[in-house]
Amino acid sequence: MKILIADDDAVLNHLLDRHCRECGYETTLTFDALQAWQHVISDRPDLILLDVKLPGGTGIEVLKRVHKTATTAGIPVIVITGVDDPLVLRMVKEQHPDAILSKPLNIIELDVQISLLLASKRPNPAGQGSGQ
Amino acid sequence: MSRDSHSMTAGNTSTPVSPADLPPDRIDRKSLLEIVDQDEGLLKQLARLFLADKPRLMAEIQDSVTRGDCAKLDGAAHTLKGSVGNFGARRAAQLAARLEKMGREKNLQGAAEAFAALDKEIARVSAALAEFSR
Repeated sequence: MKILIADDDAVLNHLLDRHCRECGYETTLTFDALQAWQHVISDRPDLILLDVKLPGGTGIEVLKRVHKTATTAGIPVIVITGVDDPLVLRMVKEQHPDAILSKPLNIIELDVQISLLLASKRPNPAGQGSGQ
Repeated sequence: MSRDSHSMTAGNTSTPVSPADLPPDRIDRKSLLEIVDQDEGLLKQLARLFLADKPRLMAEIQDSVTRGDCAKLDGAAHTLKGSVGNFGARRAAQLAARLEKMGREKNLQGAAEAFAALDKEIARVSAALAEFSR
């Protein structure tokens, strides 16, 4: 399972990277909107952790593109934001991300959301599924 | 990363508290190690990342205040707020949040003074983090 992390805060990126890898996920780190979108297209991650304020664009724009592009529309997106501007938060909600988490991040909440969103993508246990 | 506190970061910067009401940030080894689940190697890496990124962010903030570039101030102060908040430095995060708000609201009155206060606090935080980056 691959998780794309998009946040311009190098410290939080590193923390998220470390935590996700400890949980057994592959990760790709990106630091701006363009880089994030390029990796969405090239890597087809199973899940995206997306900051709202990113250099070179916004997470909202990335989210819109993910949803509008046929090949990426099914990728779950968790928006992680330190923004407290109600207008911006409304704009985020209008794009219907799968979850919105506030900074400082609650790690248990993050784990729960990742597990829930990736549950449908995990291979079924032997003998209980289609064998994919 | 701490599971006891259930939080990746210790400082809640969204609380509407004036920076003047907060004491200078106390960055001590015990609380930092709680954030990284007692992983000293990770703490060292995070401190180095912050110290490497900080000059660029502070220069961007200062430059945007000087030039009156509100959008740039909004973005750079927001990033610094999140970055320093990772270490539980609430006062520094609130000072950055104040500049972020000025940029967002396109009102830079008092921005130079706000930057000076941020610069002072960031210097304190950086000196403390430098101890953990070696």
